[in-house]
Amino acid sequence: MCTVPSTAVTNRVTESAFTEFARAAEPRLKIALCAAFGPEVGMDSTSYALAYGWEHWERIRSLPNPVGYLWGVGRNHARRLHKQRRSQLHLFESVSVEDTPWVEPGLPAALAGLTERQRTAVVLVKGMAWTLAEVADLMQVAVPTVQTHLERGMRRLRRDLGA
Amino acid sequence: MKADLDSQIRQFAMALERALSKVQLFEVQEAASDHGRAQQTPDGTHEPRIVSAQTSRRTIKGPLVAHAKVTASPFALKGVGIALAVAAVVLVVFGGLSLLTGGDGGAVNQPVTTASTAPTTSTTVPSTNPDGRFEAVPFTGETWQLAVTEEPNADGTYDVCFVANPVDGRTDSPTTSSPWCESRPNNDPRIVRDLLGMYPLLVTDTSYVMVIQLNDHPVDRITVTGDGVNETVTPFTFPRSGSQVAAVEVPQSDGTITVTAFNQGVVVDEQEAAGRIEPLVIDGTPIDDTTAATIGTLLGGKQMTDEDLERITGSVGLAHSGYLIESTTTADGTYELGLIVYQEEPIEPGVLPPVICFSEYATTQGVNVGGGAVCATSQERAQELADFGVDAGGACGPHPKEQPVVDGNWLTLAVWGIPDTTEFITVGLGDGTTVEVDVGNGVALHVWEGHADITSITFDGISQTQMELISSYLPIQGISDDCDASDGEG
Repeated sequence: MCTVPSTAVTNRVTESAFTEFARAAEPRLKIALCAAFGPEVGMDSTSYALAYGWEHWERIRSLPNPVGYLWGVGRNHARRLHKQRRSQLHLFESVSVEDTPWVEPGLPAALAGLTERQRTAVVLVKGMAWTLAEVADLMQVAVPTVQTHLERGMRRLRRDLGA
Repeated sequence: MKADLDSQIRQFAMALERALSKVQLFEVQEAASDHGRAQQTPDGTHEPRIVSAQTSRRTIKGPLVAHAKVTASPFALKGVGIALAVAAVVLVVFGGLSLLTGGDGGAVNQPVTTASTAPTTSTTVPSTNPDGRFEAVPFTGETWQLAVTEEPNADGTYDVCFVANPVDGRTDSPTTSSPWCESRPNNDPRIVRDLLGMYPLLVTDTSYVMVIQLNDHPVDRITVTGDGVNETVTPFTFPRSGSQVAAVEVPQSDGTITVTAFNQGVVVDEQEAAGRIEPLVIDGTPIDDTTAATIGTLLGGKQMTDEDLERITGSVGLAHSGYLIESTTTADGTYELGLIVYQEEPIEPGVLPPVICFSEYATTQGVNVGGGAVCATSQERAQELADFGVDAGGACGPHPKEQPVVDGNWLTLAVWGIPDTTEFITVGLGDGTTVEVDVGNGVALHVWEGHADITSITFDGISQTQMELISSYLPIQGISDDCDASDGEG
């Protein structure tokens, strides 16, 4: 008879739970962090947050909002990266006129000029059709706060783009 | 002709989403290897893989065995004109729960010689003042002294207090610390009851004094070893209460030290203290004695000056911001937390400030609200608190030692008696947002933002894990030089 060591069983259970969580959380974390910090830093920060989540899974799994917590972890990592690479990093590259002819070429730069929270709210709500509540849940702020960031962000975009 | 702004953003985001969908950052390694077998860890589990961009410096510390290696060629993202070269770094994480809580924790049963550096001495010099208070200076270092007092209570019990003092004539001495007192009976089942290192009672340029509390079990020797420390001290016994305490000067370090209690050569208890926290550093500069003392005495009701807080925040004109400073675990196993709140408009004494402090904790955990500080944001909330016996007009619950201090824009207050089983408390801000503050993991300092624009705080000399936890609440420099300050980002 082959017996499986209890540690291995426990590991598999833990791993399975984390795998399920990570598969569900990764797309949302990735798109949100990339919206806020650009694809390069956003992806790096997503992987950082997931690695952090795995490392601290026993604690994080018990949190009421683990995705929101990992958003905070990824966000802070992204901020550090941006701070380090400030001089050589562009948030979003210019859009391709061929690929996206209906998009104002100045839009990426205008988005980059928003505050982090404004940009997150604008891209997720206006671009990704997230609800205010979904963004608020991720950012762990109140819905009216997201609304405020969204309105200010849109106002600033219109001003910068002359729209 | 361009589309309207909403449509443009949607198209831009869709292009971004398309590009990102091609990259999967997380996978469980179940694919067959070159030899057609699934790769497994030695215990039979698969290996979760988290693939990160080439710049990742993710390091998993602690007992988890982790390593990183470059395993893939650069690839590119397209769709929004983004050419992104990424080399995949695979973090291969072995192990599981047993490793998560592991560490060898080897016992130190051999006698340990007294260290040659910064010797800590133990003497017993009983003396009694006319008011019945016992005082002694049982522990001394080159530049510091740890004085103790024992004060009688009406019920026949005694409070024991500690005060760190400088050494006369030494210009490099730390300043006098705030007194730390406890009155809890000595009924803790642990022999080494507490390692008071979370908030250093006394800090020198390179070390801090770690106070080790003991219960009533006889202990005649304490060794502190590991991470370059090799100290032996004799516990001091308060003559009236019988409380035992030892103090040892240890270097500032992030490593783990082992505290072992001996009685007649037999190990009676052993505990580890990891991630010893160094003094708070702001803007790369250690805070000066005044600020340190101010922070240290927050729980004693002393307020910080505007200048202190201005330097800490690096900014004025905030909507409001809060600092939550965690004291160490107290003798009865509870936490004490200090809080500083700034609001743009001066706070009028007796008028509710724009924060709720620990209210959820106080009302949901069944803790005596009167023992903590509670604030309210509305008259309804104030009435609710009043129903609990809290002076809502004064905004904060009473404590024998503690009353909120309102000075202009600043409010300082404290909450006491948070059980050590509490991991999070909910702090509500005036705009209805809430922040969960982790209080149960040994993090010494939390900072949170309301609508605050706090842009220049850095913390040095703490462990990576602690930094990450703190960072979860720490607003740091934003990514744009042209941020709208009113939005709370740098």
